[in-house]
Amino acid sequence: MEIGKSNLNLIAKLASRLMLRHWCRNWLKLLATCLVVSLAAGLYIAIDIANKATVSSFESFTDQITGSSDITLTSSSGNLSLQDIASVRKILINSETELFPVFESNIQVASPNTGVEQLLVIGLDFYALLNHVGRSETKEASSKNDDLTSSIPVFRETMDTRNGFYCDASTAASNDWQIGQEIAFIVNSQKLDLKYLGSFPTNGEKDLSSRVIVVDARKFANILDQDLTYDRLELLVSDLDSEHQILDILSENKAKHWIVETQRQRKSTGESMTQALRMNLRALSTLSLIVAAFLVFQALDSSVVKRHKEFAILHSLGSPRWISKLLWLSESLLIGIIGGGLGIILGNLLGRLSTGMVSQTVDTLYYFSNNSGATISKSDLFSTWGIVIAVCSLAGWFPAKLASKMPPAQLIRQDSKQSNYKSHHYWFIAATSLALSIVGYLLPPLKSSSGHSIPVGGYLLVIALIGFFVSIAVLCLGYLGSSTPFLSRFDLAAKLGVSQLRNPVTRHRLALGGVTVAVGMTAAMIILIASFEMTVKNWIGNILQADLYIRSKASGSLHSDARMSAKTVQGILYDQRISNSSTIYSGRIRYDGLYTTLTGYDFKYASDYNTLSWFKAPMSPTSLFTPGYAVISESFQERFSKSVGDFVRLEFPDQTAEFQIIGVYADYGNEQGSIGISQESYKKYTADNGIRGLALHLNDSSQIEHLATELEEKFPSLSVVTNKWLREETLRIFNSVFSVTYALKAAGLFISVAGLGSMVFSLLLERFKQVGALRMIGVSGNMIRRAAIWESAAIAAFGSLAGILLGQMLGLVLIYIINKQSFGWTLQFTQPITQLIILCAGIILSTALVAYVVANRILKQPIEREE
Amino acid sequence: MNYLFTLIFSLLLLQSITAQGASPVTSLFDSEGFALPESGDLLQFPHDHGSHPAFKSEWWYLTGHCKTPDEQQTFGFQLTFFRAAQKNEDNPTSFDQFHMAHAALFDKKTKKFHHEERLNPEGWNAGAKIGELDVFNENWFLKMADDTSEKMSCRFSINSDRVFQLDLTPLKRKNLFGDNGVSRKGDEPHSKSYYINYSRLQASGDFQIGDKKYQVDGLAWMDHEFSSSQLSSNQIGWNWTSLILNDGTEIMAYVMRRDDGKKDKHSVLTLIKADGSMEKIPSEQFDWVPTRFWKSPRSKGTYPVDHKLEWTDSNGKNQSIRVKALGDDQELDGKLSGFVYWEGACYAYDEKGTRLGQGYTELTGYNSSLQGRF
Repeated sequence: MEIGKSNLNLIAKLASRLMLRHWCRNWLKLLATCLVVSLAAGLYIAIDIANKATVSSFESFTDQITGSSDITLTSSSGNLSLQDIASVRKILINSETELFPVFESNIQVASPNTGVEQLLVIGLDFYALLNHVGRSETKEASSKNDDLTSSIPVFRETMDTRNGFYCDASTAASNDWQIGQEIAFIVNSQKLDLKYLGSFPTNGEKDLSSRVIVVDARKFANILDQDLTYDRLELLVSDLDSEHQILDILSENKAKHWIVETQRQRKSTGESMTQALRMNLRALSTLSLIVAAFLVFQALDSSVVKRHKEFAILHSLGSPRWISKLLWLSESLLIGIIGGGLGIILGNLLGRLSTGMVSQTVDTLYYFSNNSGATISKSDLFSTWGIVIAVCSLAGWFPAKLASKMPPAQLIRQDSKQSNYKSHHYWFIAATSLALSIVGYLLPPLKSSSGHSIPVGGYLLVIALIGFFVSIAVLCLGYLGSSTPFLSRFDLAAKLGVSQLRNPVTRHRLALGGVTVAVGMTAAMIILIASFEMTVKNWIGNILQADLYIRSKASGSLHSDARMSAKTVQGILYDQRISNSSTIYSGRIRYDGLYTTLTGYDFKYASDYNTLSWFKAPMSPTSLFTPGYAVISESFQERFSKSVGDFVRLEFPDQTAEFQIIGVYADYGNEQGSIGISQESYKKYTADNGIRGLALHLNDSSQIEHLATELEEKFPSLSVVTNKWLREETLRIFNSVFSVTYALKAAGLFISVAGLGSMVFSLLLERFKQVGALRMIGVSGNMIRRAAIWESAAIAAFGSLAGILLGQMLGLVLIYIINKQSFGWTLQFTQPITQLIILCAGIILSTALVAYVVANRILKQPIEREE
Repeated sequence: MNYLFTLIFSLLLLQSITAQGASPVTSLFDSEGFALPESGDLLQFPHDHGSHPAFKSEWWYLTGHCKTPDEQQTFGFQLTFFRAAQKNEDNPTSFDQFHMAHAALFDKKTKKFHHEERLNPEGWNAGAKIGELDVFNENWFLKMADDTSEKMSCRFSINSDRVFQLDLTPLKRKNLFGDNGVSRKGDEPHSKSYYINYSRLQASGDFQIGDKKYQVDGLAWMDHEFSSSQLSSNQIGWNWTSLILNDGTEIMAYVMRRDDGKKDKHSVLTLIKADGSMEKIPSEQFDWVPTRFWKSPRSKGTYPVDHKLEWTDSNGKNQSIRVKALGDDQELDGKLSGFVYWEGACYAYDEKGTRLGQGYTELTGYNSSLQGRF
């Protein structure tokens, strides 16, 4: 095919006459379609930004100070000791690699001025940093051949302040902190005053995160009267050394408990922690894109149907068919380009919001994230734009292909209402989907390097089920139209409206498909969340049996490392009103190179009160107390493919220990998995004597509130909560975890209602002649309005019904396949009837409202203006 | 001798100490509890090459000149490790040790001066062993490789792009300056230090710049000094020079500068002859005459970078040597510590302009008076 000058002229003329004229007349429809596409693309980009922020913030706070480290060294259990750090120094004495030991901990502002209560405290060796800054500044000045303004004098003047801290200016401003002012903080179970010293000298590329304060690790440990240990050692490899060389030196000389990772491996460790969450978010945001594709398909198909005659005439006159196809395709491209472009702007605007929401989840479940937001690279933006354009082109391709293939005579004969698609098409899709769903069900999950399973079969099953239910629903749509005799008994408008479905056009089918998918996915999410909530409620009912629970105020999330000292706990247990108590110890460890949790359980208490929910209980409860035995959570079982009878070998700083697994328990608070050993073993191996939580049982339950108040007054740095409060708080945390899911759900529903609105608008526009005729013969505007409402509400209701059925199936897949494989949690299937009814009612009512508005608008147009 | 560092450490609020690390055995302590040098034959080796945390301050000071066989690379270098004791903030009866280090290079071809300063508390990133020479600051180190031959090795880099790895072999036995190693610096009874020196060391090893590595060879000078209170209250600064001459002799001279502009009577010039014997020229028999000045554009200090040493030898004969800096800007900017001084590579000439040897000169208290600061 050769595009000659004459062809180019023809294309230009046809584009102007057919395409531009059409869209100029239907600019509102074009705008609406583009906006819906932009919303979907925006959500897709916003989630991408949030996911990137989540990953990039994994322990990346020191990047802002020293630059991105090349290698990170951590301990497989607990922290790195000074001896560890000194050993690395000695091993690397002949290299130019710089070492930066880092510790991170949660810290609470004792009297917050604003909502910023929980901060991250980063402890660094200020002298190592001072020397680094000195070198960096000299190098920079030398390369620029200029004396630069140095940050050293100010830092040097303040860095030795015994109780000083630095933070970024915005944090200080929002809390109204003045330089030199002493601020009260809570760390672990201690209250301490730290002096605000000013802004920290960063490496100039990034500002210090607004949720971070920086202290000198040595002085900070001194104030807290703790041994100085570090979470990790960051290594900055100089230009004179190669990363490979340093890794070799370290691997030859490393202690058993050291884990040496490159920046890339470290990043993948961070990614692995949130992989399941991010995959689910990505799936949800992709759903928005799919629903938007439905709308584009619908819009273009209607456009094809509407302009059959014009194109048939063109074909009769000898215009090549590929030109017609090109014109159709350019329309979908136009929508993709405009919608995707607007989506990029919208996505960037929504990025901060979505980052905040995802960060909230990550903060609660995984690690303290850097909420400073991430940017998305130009290449990512353009690739997303490309995806949107491709999706839109694909959506427009098939209607265009069918239209261009059809003989002119048949095109001219066809009424605009008729669809190009036959029922056997849908039967074919339904059968294929069914076959694919069987394949999906049988397909085993893929195991990622992080140990997490990727439920590829589950995802395929979801797609196949969607295809099957949508096809079946579309095939049944005609039967809905046949119910008009029954409806006419109530309302003639109902008959008029619903009868339109007797011979459904493509637009009807697409709208129905959109509603079915949106309702189905939303219903599935509702079922998943309700099942999760019910399971967690039952679980916490089991584990929370004490009257009072005590922890440090600084521990605001599941991964917080805030601890109480044994001395503090003894001071509490002295009270005679306490009849029984239990403590819990836990810390992050690495198993098979991946992060998980080691918990020191008070197994006597757990046995007495049956606080562990067993999936596989130990054969003998007394074996729990035997050294060398361990129990694991269900997530650990799934993630590391370990079960009862297997052994786990853990590397501790002083020794290697092997435990045999004797039981599997439920732990819905930790999807990284956990290993439970006795407290004696925990303390022996980890040397961690910090108590994470304390549970108290009282002799007299009427004393609960009174004792709680007394203890909080006596120990202001501790959070003393009642059983009731903690249950509510757990559910609050649970809800905050799903906040981003709710937002995506709302967006999906919005797109689906917008799709229905678009459908009604298009249909009424198409039937403008018919509407005009009805009005001419005296049918009232009210009747036409009601007919439009009935027509769209019928599709919404039918789509909701199909969606609910689809949702049930998807809910089962999410709970028993995807969730189980992704997180390793077994959930109890729960049917949240009320929520599902509200969902359906909401969809039907919103659709009716949109139909009313659209019909009103159509009716306001003069009858004479016909196409 | 580098009095500068007594100043630095004094500003770190040095405090009393325990008797631990007070070897050489001394019964003298100052009012703060720091050990004081005591006359007598007390130094023992190799033990006293190591650290002496009972004393307030200590340094190991290496300067030298090296070049590649083809003289493509030729430079002067300085590597100094300092230790200072400081009162612990929380517990006045215990003391923290701090370690500062300076490394510098003067490139004789390009006339460019490169230097780096480091400051670390004792711990994982810096330290000095008691009982043996093994001192490090981050990845710079100096240690005794063999106690019998007293061969040493060191490694240092400047801003991570110029790296030296040198073996240091004594070509002469070590010197104990002063009275069996106890060197008096001022009128006040405590103004003295233990002063151990290697005046001529064969320095050989590698020098790396970027990805290029060169073999280098040359001569170096090393001082090890420890004390608790060296300077008298009327001293404002000092000039110090060490010269390694081609005829096998070395010269060490220092002038303590008083606040009245005069030379302190405890200033001294020492000649180390080829056979290792020493001749001490007292203050009244030698002069340090500035012959050219250079003003630093950064600190505004005006340094006598060229000078002439004049003395009368044991035979009553007048002698002189002209000392000329290889480059004017060899000022260490004290970016981290705040202490600025000039420490420069130089050559020694006779009156006819014949080069006699090489050395290093240290000039302190020129950008501001040190009086009252310790």
